[in-house]
Amino acid sequence: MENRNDILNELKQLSLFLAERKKENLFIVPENYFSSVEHNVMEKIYAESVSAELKNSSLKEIKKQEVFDVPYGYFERLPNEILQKTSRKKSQSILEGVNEYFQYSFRLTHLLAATPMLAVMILAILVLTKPADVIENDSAIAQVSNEEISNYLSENISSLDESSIVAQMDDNSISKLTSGIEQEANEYDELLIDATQVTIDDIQNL
Amino acid sequence: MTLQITDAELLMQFRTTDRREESYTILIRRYQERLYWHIRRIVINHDDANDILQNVFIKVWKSLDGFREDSQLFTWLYRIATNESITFLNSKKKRFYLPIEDVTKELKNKLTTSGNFSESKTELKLQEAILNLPEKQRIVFNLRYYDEMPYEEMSRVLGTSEGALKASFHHAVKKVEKFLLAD
Repeated sequence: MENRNDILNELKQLSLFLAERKKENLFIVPENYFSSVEHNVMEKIYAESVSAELKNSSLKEIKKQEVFDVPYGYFERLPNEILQKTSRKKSQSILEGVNEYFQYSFRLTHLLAATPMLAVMILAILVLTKPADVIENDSAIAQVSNEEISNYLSENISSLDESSIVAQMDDNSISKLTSGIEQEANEYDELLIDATQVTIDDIQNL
Repeated sequence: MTLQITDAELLMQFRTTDRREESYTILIRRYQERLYWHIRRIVINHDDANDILQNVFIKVWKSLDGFREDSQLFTWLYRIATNESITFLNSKKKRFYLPIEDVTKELKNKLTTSGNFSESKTELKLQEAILNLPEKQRIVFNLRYYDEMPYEEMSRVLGTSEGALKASFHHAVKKVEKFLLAD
């Protein structure tokens, strides 16, 4: 390969003027420019590599970092809090179930218990309010005991027409009857209230 | 001491160790001045030369792992710097729809108006003469006259045959001499 002299000799042959001319540098660079190049270049390389990394990486590759904060010990307390809430709800739902059961059974019992009583009362009303001549003439009924009438009515309650029974009653009798029923209903309601105060332990012990 | 290691050792260190940045800093220090002056003579303005130089080193950083060492590192760096400088001038022409004459005019204008030049009138005259050359001839003249680059190496940098480069340099020298002796 050519050396420096070869190059100079070639120039001398082409232009002696240029070959003998002293080479000066026309261009000036800012002071300490060359000491800053490496720093500037490395800074740009770093910035580009970070940007390229972000561009190439998908969301799953970016380090996940939670930006929200939670109170101290929140996750330690959470399981217990959830358990407490679920057991309270459970006991509430059990109580509600018990309550519904009692309401339903009490209504049924109430109805069944009230039926013979109602029958007796209706019969009594009919007998008592019947004119004397009718009672006298209805000797067959007069000979029937109350117990027998009650039994009859209990056995045939389904065939009795409520409206025809009520039609035989006057306002006073109906009022007496409904007040009796209301009193009984109130007693059952009190029982229900007591039932809602049953604790979990009580239910578990049932 | 680290500056004394060869280019091959530097490349090896860059590729195989975790001291990539350290190796690359040495490489920058080693070639920054020569590359800067080469670029500056093409684009004339310091700020443009600085931008191009930094781009060159960024590109080299990205491609150094793939450098096959068929040529010397120095030649490869020169080739990248030359291409970047020509791309810069071409983009300027495209951006402002300038004919080549206007780019030369602008470069000449920079020589006289910009503060980053010495007041040497003979040197200014020489630069004007060089700026009158076609772009390729100008680069060939600069590489041969200022950098004293052998044709063989220049051929690898510019991708042109040695014969074509010789002819180009001869034409350039004659034109420059004529311009300087004209006054």
